[in-house]
Amino acid sequence: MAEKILTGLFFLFGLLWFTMSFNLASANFGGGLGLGPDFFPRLLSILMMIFSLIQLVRTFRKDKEEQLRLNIHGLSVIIIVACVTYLFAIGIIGYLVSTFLFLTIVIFVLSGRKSIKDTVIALGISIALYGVFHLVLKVPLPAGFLI
Amino acid sequence: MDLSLLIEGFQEVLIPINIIIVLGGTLMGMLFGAMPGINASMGVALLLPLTYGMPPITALTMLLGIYCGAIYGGSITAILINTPGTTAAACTTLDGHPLATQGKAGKAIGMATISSFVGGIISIIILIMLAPFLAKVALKFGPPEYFALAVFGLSIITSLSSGTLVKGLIAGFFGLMLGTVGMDMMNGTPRFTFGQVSLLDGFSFIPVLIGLFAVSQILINVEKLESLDMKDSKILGLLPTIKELKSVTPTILRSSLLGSFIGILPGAGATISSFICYNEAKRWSKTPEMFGKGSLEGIAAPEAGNNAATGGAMVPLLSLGIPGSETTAVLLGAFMIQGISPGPLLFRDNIGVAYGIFAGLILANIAFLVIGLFGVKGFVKVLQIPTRILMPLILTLAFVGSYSVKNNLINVGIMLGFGLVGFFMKKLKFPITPVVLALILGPMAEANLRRALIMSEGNWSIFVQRPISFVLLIITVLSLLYPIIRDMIKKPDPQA
Repeated sequence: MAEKILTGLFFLFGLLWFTMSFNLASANFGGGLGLGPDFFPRLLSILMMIFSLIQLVRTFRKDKEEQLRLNIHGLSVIIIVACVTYLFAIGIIGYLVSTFLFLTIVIFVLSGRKSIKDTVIALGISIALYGVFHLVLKVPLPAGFLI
Repeated sequence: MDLSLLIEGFQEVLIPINIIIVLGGTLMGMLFGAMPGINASMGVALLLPLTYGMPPITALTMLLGIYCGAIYGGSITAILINTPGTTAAACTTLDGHPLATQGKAGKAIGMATISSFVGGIISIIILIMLAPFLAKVALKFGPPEYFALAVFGLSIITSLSSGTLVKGLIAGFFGLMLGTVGMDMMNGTPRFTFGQVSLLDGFSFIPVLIGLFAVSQILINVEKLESLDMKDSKILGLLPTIKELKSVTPTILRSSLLGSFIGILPGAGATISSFICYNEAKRWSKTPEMFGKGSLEGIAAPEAGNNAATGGAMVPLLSLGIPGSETTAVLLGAFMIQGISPGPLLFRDNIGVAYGIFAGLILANIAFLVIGLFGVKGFVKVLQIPTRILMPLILTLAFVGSYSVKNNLINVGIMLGFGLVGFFMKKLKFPITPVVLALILGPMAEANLRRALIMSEGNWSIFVQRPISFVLLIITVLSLLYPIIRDMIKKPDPQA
């Protein structure tokens, strides 16, 4: 099922590009020579639709046992949620604090226990990252109301 | 080969800070290469932000150190724990691990180190001889030739996705379509930006790449955490003796030459090279029955072969600007961030940088030789970082890397989005590499297609009238048809 959905999404992606390419055609003011900005995306989208249809038909023909199943591990979901939260937290509370919290929580989740040692490791890593990137290499890091 | 230019390149590279940086880069590359679940392209992409504040030559030598170190580093875990750190080291487990169980891990690692070094150096010599020559030829290229070259590069996708050809093509078209996002390069029309100003320049390559390769892999790795932890392993045994080295010298030399040429071919990188070199060594060997039981030749061949492919893969990258593999695609993105675009113009306008890259490659090979021969016991200790700490650490690096491309959090969001896309694609057996290659080569193909048609006033026959583009397109058609014909002849394996 999952395989059909993903292939179907690729088909819809092709369809979206195909329809949107028609809005581009009018913008071709290049003087008529050569191709407009719509040609290449439209060609690609048509090929995308053809190949995803072929794949879709193949997937439907497969036996039940051959179907690829999408087993998503609980830990993967937690990591995704943690990453999205981290992304929003960086902009609000700043790089150092949010990185420390993110590392601590993810290490706790992955090891399945809370430990002071791991908290210290997380703190050390966040300070080291902040030090190396912000202070030594002068790579800009997102800032918030804390550091 | 222009020796005076190479010496100048060395003078540019050989300053104390660069030596420290190349050592550090090689060491980190070795670490990433040695850790199962992290490959060379992920290593380069994740450590890229470290180079943002550096002058170009320093940044490039660091990236090359990571690249060469990662390909070599895979052999260490292959020998010690029978798990190749990178796919390029898969062959090394065959004879490396039997030697380790016989208490000769030191000999095996020593052999891998020396062969990797020789393979690397020979491939760089070939690179230095071939690249400027190819670049000179490529200077005569116009838009039709570049279009043909880009299409040829794209045809690699079919050979990268054997067995899942249609899925590989879908992945390729996905990448090509993503490449059309942004301002049209010919007349400035915004395309598929959905009103987002940040998408006017198109998708930034680095966040997409970090998401597709690194984040997706971590989401998969957390499912099998324990299996990725390094067991404590002691390195016993001494380095190979002079006599042993002498006996494998022909194997090393043969594999180095073979590996360099395999590396030059687009689509055939370090992994394929190591397999071919292993088989060839077995065929030529006086003691083929020892292969798989701890033959030193069985380590020397794949290791010389996979590191020789690193120099070989730089030939099309530097002289034509065409990446032939996943890792060189990442390197291309990294070079462009430093304001260096590989290609024939590099050799005409920036010859100093080109020779600086050659010198940097040589330095990187010397760096892993030194670490591999004298520091490997300490190195193995560092490898024992538990996965539960390593995985989150890599995620934070992925965040910094995507943010600092343009200093905005939107790219971090894009990185996470592509992390999910890559995760689902990997789970459902869609290959990832075609997306990345297509994202790089697509805009190049489109721009040159349109420029060529303006040149010819809309006449498509320009592509077959110009001899070089004609030949390139013929090769493309052949390489496109080859896997289809091969798949037709060979009935698909029912268990695949």
